[in-house]
Amino acid sequence: MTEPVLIVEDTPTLQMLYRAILKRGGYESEVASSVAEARRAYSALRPRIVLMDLSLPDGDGIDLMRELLAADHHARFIVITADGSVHRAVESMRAGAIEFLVKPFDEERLIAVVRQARESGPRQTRFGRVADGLPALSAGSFIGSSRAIHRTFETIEAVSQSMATVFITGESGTGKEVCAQAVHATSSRADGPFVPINCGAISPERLESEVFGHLEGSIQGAVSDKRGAAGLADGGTLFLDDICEMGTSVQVKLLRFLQTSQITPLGANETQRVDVRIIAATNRNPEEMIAEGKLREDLYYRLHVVPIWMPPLRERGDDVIEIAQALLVRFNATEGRHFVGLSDEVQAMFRRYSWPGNIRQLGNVLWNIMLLNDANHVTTDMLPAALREAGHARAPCSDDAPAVADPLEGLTLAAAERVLIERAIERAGGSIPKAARALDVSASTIYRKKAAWEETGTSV
Amino acid sequence: MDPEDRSAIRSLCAEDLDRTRREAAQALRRWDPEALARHLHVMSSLAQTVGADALADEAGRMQVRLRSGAETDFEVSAGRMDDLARRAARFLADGAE
Repeated sequence: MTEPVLIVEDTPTLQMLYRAILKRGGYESEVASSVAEARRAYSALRPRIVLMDLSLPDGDGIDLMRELLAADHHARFIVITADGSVHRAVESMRAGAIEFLVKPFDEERLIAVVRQARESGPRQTRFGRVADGLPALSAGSFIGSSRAIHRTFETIEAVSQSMATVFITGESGTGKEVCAQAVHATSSRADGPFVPINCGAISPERLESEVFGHLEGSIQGAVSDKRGAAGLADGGTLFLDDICEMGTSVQVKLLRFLQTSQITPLGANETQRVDVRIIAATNRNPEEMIAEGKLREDLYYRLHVVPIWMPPLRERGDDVIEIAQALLVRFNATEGRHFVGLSDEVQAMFRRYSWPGNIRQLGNVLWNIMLLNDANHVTTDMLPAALREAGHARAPCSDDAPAVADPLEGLTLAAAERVLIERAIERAGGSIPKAARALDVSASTIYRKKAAWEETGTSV
Repeated sequence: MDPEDRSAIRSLCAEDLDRTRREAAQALRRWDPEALARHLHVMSSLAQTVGADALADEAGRMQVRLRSGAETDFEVSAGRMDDLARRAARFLADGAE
């Protein structure tokens, strides 16, 4: 049985009309007449499709849509309104709507849009994995309006259709896995598997088997054949978190895998070809790890084709409030609470605090507060003492001051492409065929681009 | 659409139009712009849905004037809208029977 379409509309006639149209199209539906009812219904029904009126008695439809998508990115929102301004259409599409219908619209059009929404594949996979006590946000739940995180969005968009390996750096708790999920979700591999492996959480003896698999009897305790993460990610994306914790022997095998797209499970004589895109991440400084001999330089350059840096929360300005708000909605649903926001004092403290544990710390703080309290607003007396005290001091934070220079900042797409290609050639010691393999394009593509640059005399 | 559903929708729309007309008039009398804006939005939505173009246009014009803060001839427009809404509601109610 498919879940019903959720109709968020307060006018009784229109509620009945939409239900009748959907019924004719073979769809069941449920109705919510206000923002408050819509929140409850969304949490309870987990609808695949939502028809949303933009003007509701107790709030704005676009704000509500953003809030619900932040809690669960699974649903597809179809916005219906009598206000046909382009501004509202653009705003609603940017907020996540898949379609914008202006009244009056044809009944058949509504049925067609709903059918299309239901039959199209999931926007991204939802990962319910719990890490460090923090319920995972769904893939694509990238929340933030700061310039710092928008640079990250732009890089993700720029590489979305590429097969190039992505290397994500950033402090612990900044959302590197969410970033990896977003790269996967916006890629042509979005319908394929996303397989994460935390290289730091698995013992060195087991890591090779976990990544490449093993045959029965090949290692102690191997009572049956096991498919490794690389094999499971065939057709999709393999995410190697804490890549700097990987032992050097496994690094050698990983490098060979990157070069040949072939894996050899432990105990196997034959190799298997797999089609996998690799995303790697670390909270360490990889160049220091290379200097210490803990990370192979050739592996690093093979992985470091497209660098993405996740800014720390303290450098993301008001994103801390946006993210906190989304977490409140999520935890309201899981913990049966009714928080609607943060008090002004708490917001000010959150903006000032340095958040050494970043988003993970923010999530743990809020989750704790919501487990121990039941109120409408998070107030300062609910905060842990350390945060209250530290929140009074000014933390160095600025949405405008970049912490690390991003070499792609301010470049056009063509210029950014040239930077990436020239860097790859440099890393390959000047060898264009090697650079082409690292970038997963043909050598002739690079030769053509170089010729075009020389002809036009363009520079970055 | 099922003829019974269509009849039920017409009947409900007639009720909604009538109620919204009264609520808009009350909001105008006590000068509550926020409530008035909501009622005009509902009136416009209902009118567009049932093809009552003149009513939809009048409600739309009033919304624009309300947003711009213009109060001249507001009462006149409200009177016109009220009249159009009554007629639309009566038409729908008669058709539903």
